Amino acid sequence: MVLYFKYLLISLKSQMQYRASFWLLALAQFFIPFSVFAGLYFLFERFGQLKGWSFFEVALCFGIIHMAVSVSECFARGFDAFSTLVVPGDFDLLLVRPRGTVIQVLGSRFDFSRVGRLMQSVIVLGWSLSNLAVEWTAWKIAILLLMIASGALIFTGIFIWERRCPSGRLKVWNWSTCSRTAEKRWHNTR
Amino acid sequence: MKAYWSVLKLRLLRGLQYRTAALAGVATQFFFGFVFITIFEAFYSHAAEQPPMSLKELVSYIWLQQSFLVFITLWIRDNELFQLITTGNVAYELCRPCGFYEFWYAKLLAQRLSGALLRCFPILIVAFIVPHPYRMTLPPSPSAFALFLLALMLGLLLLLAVSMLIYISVFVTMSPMGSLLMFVVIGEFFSGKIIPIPLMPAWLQTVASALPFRWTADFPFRVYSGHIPADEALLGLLAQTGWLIVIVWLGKVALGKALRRVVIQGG
Repeated sequence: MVLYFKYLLISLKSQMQYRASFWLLALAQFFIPFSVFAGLYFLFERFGQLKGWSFFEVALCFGIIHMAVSVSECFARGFDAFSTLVVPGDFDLLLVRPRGTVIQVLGSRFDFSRVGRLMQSVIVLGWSLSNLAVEWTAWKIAILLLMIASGALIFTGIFIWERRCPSGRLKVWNWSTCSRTAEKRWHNTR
Repeated sequence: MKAYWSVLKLRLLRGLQYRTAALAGVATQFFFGFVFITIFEAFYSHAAEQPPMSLKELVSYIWLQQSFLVFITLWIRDNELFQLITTGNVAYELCRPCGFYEFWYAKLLAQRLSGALLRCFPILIVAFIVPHPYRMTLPPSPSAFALFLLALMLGLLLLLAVSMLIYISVFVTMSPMGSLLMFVVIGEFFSGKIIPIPLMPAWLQTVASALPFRWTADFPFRVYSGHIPADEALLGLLAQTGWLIVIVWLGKVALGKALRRVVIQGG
């Protein structure tokens, strides 16, 4: 876990070296879901409601799910970009180090520009909550936080489960067998 | 011209080899098609007033969008070209005895054509046999279908001209992400990929019709379902051609300017 945070810190420092580029990317990340959200807004403006769901109720779901995605994309980006490690053969480097491959892959990349996406979902969530009459109790706050946290974990699980092959082919493989066969194959070639 | 033609043919044959990748794409597109139609169907079932586009027209719109996704997304890009530009290897390309713009245009065209050829038929076939409300309908008349094919092809050429602009911008910015994201966010929204243009509020429709993006996707799909009548479609084809000429010209001018300033170091 200490190692993971070290990776996190180094990655943050290196991304902060290109400050302007970082903020521009974050801004762009802000606008991608924004256009989808705008589409949602215009549909509700035209149709009024969706089978009894009001706009702000749907926006709440949108905000929660998006927040979960952006958190997991930020911290589990290493697995999402796993193919960029395997294809050029950089995975070898991870195999010779005396640490687990899972943590190294996880630490290989963090995408902090997702902070733009996160901001967008925070705004959507705040906006929808302020427009919904919710009686706040400790339980409800706990549920909201748990929804976001477990959503992020589910998306991380999906990232680990699927790995994208170079031609865009989706291969659904269990991570552990995948890693084990890769390691075995690697040892055999030695 | 012959050189570009053979580039197109070779690349087309190469693109047709990636069948498994296409199969995965088809599965994804089915899923998205069903989800989008379900969402719109739910919206339509409680519509207070008659929406400007019937559900039947919308279903055709969405299935066409999914089957010709390779024709209409700006997001699909050739990383090879980006790398050539940023690493300076573009020098080799410039040594070739043919136009840089035309050469890459032919390559990108082949890439998209082969992608769509592999993907569109399975999606379309299933779209015609799934039960109502998901079933796609035939175009109202053979002439509407002919116009649709023409509009789709012109739309593809126009989209490629726009995507060439993205590649050319990399000569200046040296980083593809920024311009790509900008074009993608604006382009995809105003080509009706997120919500169809007729369902947008009036002021946004005005903005959309002032931009070239709606001619790449929204226009051909509405011609297919007959939402745009034949006489209006003919005018639309003219507008597409106009935009195509303007954007290709713009791309060539920008490329000429960029190439004059290009400095490649090393040997």
